[in-house]
Amino acid sequence: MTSGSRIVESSYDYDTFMIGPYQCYAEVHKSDKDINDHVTPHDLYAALLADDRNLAVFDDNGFAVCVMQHNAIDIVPLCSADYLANEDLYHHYDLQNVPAPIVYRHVGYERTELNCFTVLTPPYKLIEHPMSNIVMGYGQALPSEPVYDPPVDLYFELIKTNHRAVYLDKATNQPRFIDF
Amino acid sequence: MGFNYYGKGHIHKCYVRDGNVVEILQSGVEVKYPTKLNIDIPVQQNLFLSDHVFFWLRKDNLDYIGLCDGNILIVEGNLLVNWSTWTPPFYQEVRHVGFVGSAGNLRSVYLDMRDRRTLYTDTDRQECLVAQEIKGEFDTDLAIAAATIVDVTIATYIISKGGDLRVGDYTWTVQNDLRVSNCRVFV
Repeated sequence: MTSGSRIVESSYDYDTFMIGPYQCYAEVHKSDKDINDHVTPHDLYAALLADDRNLAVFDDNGFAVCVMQHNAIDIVPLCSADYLANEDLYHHYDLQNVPAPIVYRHVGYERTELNCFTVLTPPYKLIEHPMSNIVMGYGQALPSEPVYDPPVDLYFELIKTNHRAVYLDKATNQPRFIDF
Repeated sequence: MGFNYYGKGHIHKCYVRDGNVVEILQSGVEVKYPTKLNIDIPVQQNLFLSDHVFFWLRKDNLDYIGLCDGNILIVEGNLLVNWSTWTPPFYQEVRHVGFVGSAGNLRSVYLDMRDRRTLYTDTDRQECLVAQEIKGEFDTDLAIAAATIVDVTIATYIISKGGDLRVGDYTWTVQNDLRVSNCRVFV
C-alpha cells in the first residue's frame, strides 16, 4: 500500500473490506482446479510500482493480484493461460462515491529502505498537501517554502546524512533536512 | 552472489570490468553484457536463486543486484543508495505503443521490435501476436482511441496518433504457455 509515495505493508480485511484507509469490495476466490501458481512479494511490489496511480495491491487467496486505484479495482488472476480465460475470475470494479483524488506535490525525498530487492523501487517522494505545507507522515509544517519536483540528486545528498528526509529550500536553493 | 540463469538454478561466476558484466560459463567461456556501472568488481560466486535476479555482486559493503528487466539496484544493507542499468540475457528491444483495456483499466502495451508483431502487456503477463507487421516509429505519444476487452484471451484495440489519425486495427489472441520458463513474456 502506498502512503504518499512511501510503500507500507498492510493487510486486506475481508470483513470490513478495508485496506489501510481505503475501503473496496473484493470477493474471495476459490479455485476448483489444482494450480501451482501463487502470488509472491515480487508480484505485489511489481504490480504496485507499475503505475503511479496505484494506491494499494493485495493478494486474493493466493492466486490473484488485486490492484486498487482511487476509482477502480482490478482483480487479475496470476495463473496459466487457459485458466486466465475464465472470465469469471477476471474482474474490474468501479468504486462508487469515491472523492476526487487530492493532487499532492512532490517536494523532496525520503530515505528509501527496500523490503523487496527484486523490483526497481525509485526513491520515496516527500509529498506535500496542496492546501498546507505539511508533508505526509510528518504532521508539522515545513519551515520554509520548498522547490517542487526537485532533482533526484537531492536524494544522494540525503543518504550521505542520517536524516530522514530532504527538500530544497526555494529561497536559498540549499537542501534542508528534516527528521520530525 | 554470482550469476543466476533465470529459472534454471545454475549459478555461474561473474565479475564487472570495463563497463561489462561478465559471466564465466562452466566451460570457461566468458559472456559479456553491457552495463552502465563504472566500477570494477572482482569475480564472485555464491549460491542464490531467484526468478527475477540475474546477478548479485558485493563490493565495499554495497550490493549490486542485477534484475532480469535490465535494472540494477545498488543497496547498502537495505538502504537504496543508487541504481543503474544493464543489458540482460535474452534482452529484447520493445517500444511502448499504447494501452489496452476499457476506461479505468488501461494496461501498457509493448511491441517487440524484432518482429514488430508480438505485443506484450506487463501486469497481467499476456503475450499476443498481431496478424500484420506494425510499422513506424513509436513513442509514448501514441494513445489508445478505443479499446475493449472482448474476453480475456481476445482483445481488439485501435492505436491512434494525435487523436484523429487511425493507424490500424488489430485483433490479437493470447498465445499458450504464458508461464513456461522460456516464454517471451515481458515482465
